[in-house]
Amino acid sequence: MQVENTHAATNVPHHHDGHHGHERHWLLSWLMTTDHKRIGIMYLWTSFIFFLIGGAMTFVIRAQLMSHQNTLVSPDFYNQMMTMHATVMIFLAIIPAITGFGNLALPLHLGARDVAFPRLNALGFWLVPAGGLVVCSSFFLGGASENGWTAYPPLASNQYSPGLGVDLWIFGLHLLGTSSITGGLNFIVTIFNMRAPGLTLHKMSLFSWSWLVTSWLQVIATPVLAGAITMLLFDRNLGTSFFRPENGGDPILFQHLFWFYSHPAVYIMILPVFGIVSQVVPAFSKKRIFGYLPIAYSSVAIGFFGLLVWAHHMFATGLSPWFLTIFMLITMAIAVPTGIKIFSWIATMWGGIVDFTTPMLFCIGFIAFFTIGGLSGIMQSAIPFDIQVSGTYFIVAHIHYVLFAGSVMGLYAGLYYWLPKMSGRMYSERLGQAHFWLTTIFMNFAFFPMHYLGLQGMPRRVAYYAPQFEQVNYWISISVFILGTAQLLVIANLIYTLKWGKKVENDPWNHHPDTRTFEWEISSPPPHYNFETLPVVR
Amino acid sequence: MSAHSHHDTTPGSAVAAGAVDPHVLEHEIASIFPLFTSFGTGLFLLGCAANWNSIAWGKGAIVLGLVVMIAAMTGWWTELVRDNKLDETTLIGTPEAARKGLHVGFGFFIGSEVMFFAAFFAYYFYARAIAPTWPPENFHLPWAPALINTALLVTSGFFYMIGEHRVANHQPKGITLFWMSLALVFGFVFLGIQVIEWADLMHEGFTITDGAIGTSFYLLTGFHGLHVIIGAIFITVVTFRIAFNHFTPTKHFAMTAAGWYWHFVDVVWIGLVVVLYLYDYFRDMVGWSKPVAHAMSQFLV
Amino acid sequence: MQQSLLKPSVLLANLLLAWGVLFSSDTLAAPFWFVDTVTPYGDQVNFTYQLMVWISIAILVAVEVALVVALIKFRKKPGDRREPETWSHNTRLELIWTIIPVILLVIILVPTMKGVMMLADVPKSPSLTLEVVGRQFFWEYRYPDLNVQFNSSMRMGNQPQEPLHIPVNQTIKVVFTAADVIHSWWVPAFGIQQMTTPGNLAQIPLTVTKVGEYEGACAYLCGAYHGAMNIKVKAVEQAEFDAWIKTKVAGAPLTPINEIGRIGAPHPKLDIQKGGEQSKEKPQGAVDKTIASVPVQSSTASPEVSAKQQTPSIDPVVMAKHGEAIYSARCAACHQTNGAGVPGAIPPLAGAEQVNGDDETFARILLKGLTNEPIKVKGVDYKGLMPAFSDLSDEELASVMTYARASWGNNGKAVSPELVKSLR
Ligand code: HEA
Ligand code: HEA
Ligand code: CUA
Ligand SMILES: [Cu+2]
Repeated sequence: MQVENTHAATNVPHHHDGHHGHERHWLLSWLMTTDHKRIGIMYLWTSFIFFLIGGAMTFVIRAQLMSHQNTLVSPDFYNQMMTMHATVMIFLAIIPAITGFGNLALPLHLGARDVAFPRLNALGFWLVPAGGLVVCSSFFLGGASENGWTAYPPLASNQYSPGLGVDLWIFGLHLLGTSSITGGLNFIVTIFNMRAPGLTLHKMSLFSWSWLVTSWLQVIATPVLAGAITMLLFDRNLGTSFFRPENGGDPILFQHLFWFYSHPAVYIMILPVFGIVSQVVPAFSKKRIFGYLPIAYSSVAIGFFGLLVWAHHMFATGLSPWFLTIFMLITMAIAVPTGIKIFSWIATMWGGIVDFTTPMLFCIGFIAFFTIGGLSGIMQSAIPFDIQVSGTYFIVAHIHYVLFAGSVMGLYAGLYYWLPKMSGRMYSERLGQAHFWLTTIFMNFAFFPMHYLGLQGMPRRVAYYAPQFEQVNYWISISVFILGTAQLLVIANLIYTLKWGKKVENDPWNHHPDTRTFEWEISSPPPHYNFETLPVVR
Repeated sequence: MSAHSHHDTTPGSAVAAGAVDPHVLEHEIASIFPLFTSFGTGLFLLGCAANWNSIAWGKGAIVLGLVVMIAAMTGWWTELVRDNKLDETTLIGTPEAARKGLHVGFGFFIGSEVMFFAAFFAYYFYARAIAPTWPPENFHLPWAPALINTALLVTSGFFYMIGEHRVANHQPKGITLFWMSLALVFGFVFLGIQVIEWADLMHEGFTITDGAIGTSFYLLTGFHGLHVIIGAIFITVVTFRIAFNHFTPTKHFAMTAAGWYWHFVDVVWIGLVVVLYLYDYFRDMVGWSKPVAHAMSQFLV
Repeated sequence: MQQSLLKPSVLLANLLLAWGVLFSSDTLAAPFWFVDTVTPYGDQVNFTYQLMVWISIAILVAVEVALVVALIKFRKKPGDRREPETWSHNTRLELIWTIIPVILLVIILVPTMKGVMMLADVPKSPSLTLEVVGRQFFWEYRYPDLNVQFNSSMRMGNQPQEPLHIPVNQTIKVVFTAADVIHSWWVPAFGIQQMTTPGNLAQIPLTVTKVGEYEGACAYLCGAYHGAMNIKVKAVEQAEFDAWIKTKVAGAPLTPINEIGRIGAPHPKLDIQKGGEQSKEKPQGAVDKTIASVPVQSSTASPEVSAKQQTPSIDPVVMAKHGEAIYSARCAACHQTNGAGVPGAIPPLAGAEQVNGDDETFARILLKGLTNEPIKVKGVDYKGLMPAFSDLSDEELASVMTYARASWGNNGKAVSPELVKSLR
């Protein structure tokens, strides 16, 4: 970052005892906190717990798929697992995780003391566990939704999915969506309004840029999802006919409204991760980011185009091909700004001094393998090919290359990068490296063969499948078990860090001045309200 | 490395405008109400789902959830009103900057509300596009109440603007309260007329389950009505705060926000009247739209 | 094997072996794992795919090579005294990596758009029209011009599956809809998949150029047994097709396809709220754009259908005979020809209490269907999901019930059409 920041900040000692009349009990102080860093940490813990839950569900999924007519679980239960896996991963793991990092780092990057509306921020956080409880309580109240995370009617209507499952899924998403909207609002105002003096938009960090776009998407797209699932709820319970063809409605409309949110949602899940990579790569290449402005504005382009491509999820519905062609063209256009990012990151490394720390490794993994997911995405955007593979394991492969090799790996980079800042202690590099290598290798073993399955004829969301696919599925499952177990290393590393980790100074990474953002100028962990004196950028 | 040398400024050496003691701030701004609001709402929704599925404890959960939710929100608002000053001066340098933030934030909030309504309007246009005839034969919504209601809402918004203008110019609050009450009363009359219209239509046997037309009519007017209720509550609070002298000519963001909300509700209503009530009366007059509509449908289907 | 798997080295070796299989000459014989396609359109998809894979590989290699070279060349070495470079722009480079992707995308678009045009080219007056109706969890196939209709069955439960027959080397029109929820008819070798949505019609051209049997599957989540809802298609010469179609008797009159998705299962909540007045609801808005634009293949001209208007037969033997045809067309897909059902999924009719009990219970199930009302049959619990068959006439329903009672060791009591009528 081109910031000249001399009078940045100071270390306020962590506890001024007796400074204020009485201290709150520590638990209460967390429950009541409006401090963006604490809220960020709570977001991250919540998200990590849900990540483990969502991951544990894949163990059930993969165990069932180890043979082609397995009777391990009933097909209903399989569908519940599959649905809740995706719901938990998207709405309770990835989105809270990006919001957690946003909370943690955004005010620091902007040189602000907190987000614009700290209490609203706390509300946004607490809505996540509340929403999570509502969604997950369905398991104990007669079974969760079985309709996939896309919940298309008529299958999700009352005729075919009676019971609490879908209703609770909808209500849970209402809560989580509200959280997203409040978070987005908050970040928009924080970015527009709370930058340190002299920190113009064109000087702020690329992480902040990615959040600027993301928060717009959240505010624009999420209410439409709220509308769509509200309609579904009313069809189910009040007898309206939004999506009931027997009464003048149309199930296709749900798909339009759902994807109007859910395509932007995939960019909500990736843009902040692009932002993290744009911070970490220069930090460990000891070199200024290559192409700051193109990277910043390519996020804007991705966000803008991202709002106009939703029907690429509906290529197989039988809508007019000419209508769909428009969506295909806009979808393909997104390859260009994304490519600019990928190439700029590599160019950043070029000529730098690349230090293979765990966060950097995860960024390298991100660049190397997210690209595979992006390329399969472009293939899917070609209408005739998508029609062939829609609803098959090819899509599942795409999903996990962009969401696991993409979002999750990038988030791990962020976790290792900011862990010393959050905790004031250094993690174990050894465990981190082991985690990286196991994850990368078995991620590919688990997800790459899914392309094969899809191309050869295996549909997704199936509890039973044709016998010829058994062998490949078996080996996918084995890889997944190893991949999942490898994630336990994160828990080990977190325990190690908090208990034994070496205490760190302000900037354990020795950032090159061109790459250092404000958080590395203050203590680890940073003091309340970050900056005694607001930093000034010249 | 060189960067490290910059770090030894002594704490508290230079206290810039708006700088605060972090501990005081943390202590005063911290709040338990976000937590209770969230979980109260969660419990309420859980109860709704249970109740809809005929589970006995559903009603209990609804009541408990509502109690928690309302108590928490009341506590929150009370704090907000109490801490009015705090929010505006501490975190964001100057009060002007703080107010700008509130304006931008509320603007985006209304934007998100617009998108929520957009989903329902999208449904409406979609439904009528796929219907063989629209509106169904012999079906006419009575337009008189709609026009009366439009007049009511617009006038109410106008009264509100007078009130706001008076607050901004520090005019005596007695008359301001009069205009505010009038704005509020007009809002309630609007709701009353709306309720009567619904009752009439239902009495005639036109209900929410009557296909696309029933769904779109009741849902669009219903959600709009809900927003009128929220706006009315908002205005009530604002009116009381005027009575308690909470606002000054420069500091009355709550009033501005309630006003924006009220105008937003107004605009949605006008859009709604046009598409739901009036358009069909004039449809045949706009002959030019037919070829366009036809061309569009050829392309899209 | 399971034992030794726990040894990391064995496990890794096995995994690599499995990967070896994925990339063996066998699987790669179909280039890049794509299936052999047997339609001109499928070939076009195949070609587009091959082109895209080559382009993707080129891009991927470029990215990975650049990445790896950067990492090796500029890695931090012990005792490294280098200063990092300070440049952060290179307009020429940036232009290159903006423009080349655009060019590559345009190249991809050429065969893609050709495919789109082929897909949109549905014959106006096809030699044969095929209608496909997705149902939980089987396919209903209909040849509306020939008044032939039959159901496939799902893969569970080992009974032989009758394949869909189509003649080769002619372009037929396929029209799709669904009766209950969304399904998707996918036969990879044809390069085509089509979602079937209730209340919507979709149509595609289909020209199979190679005789053979092809496998496919339902590719949109449609409920618990989505994974068992497979497809079998037999592409045959015209003569063989004609012979096959002659063996098919039109068992039941065909509902016009554009009405199928509009029937809908009863809404449980509405039944409570409106006292079961569901059917009274006004049909406003009940036809959509797609349907309106597709000429209805009227089936009312067929002799079978006009038979519907004749006086109901009361001879149990005749009824059972008629019922058998209806049964095989409408019921056998799930309950199986031998009435044994599918263990764990579909209850048996042979010896079922509901079949052999009072007439009303039996008839109600057929008329109203079961919407997730758990049901116990011969001591086993089932989920209770069955479509309503109220589209069949009183006489037809009575016949099929009579047939079921007369078969598989059931009690043989006949059912009268009047009873069915009284329950509507
Ligand atoms: C983080 C999440 C994420 C991201 C980033 C993406 C990115 C993309 N996705 Fe993906 N997508 C999903 C998550 C995501 N997707 C999910 C979850 C689904 C399934 C939903 C469901 O049904 O459950 C899905 C489904 C999906 C479909 C629908 C498939 C179907 O169901 O039939 C399509 C179709 O167009 C698609 C396309 C794309 C494209 C074009 C991109 C592009 O943004 C990718 C751009 C990136 C690159 C192209 C790589 C880098 C670029 C270069 C190196 C430059 C050179 C490149 C070229 C010239 C090609 N995606
Ligand atoms: C962010 C999103 C995300 C992430 C991270 C993942 C991660 C994983 N996913 Fe998921 N997946 C989706 C999003 C995601 N997925 C979506 C959107 C779908 C589509 C759903 C639909 O069709 O509707 C899907 C569908 C999907 C399917 C297809 C299901 C089907 O179609 O029938 C499969 C099958 O293998 C799968 C597997 C996996 C695996 C093995 C992982 C692994 O990466 C997970 C690894 C992590 C762990 C395993 C955690 C570690 C946990 C433990 C070690 C246990 C300890 C537990 C406790 C202490 C509680 N996923
Ligand atoms: Cu039918 Cu899936
Ligand atoms: Cu998408």
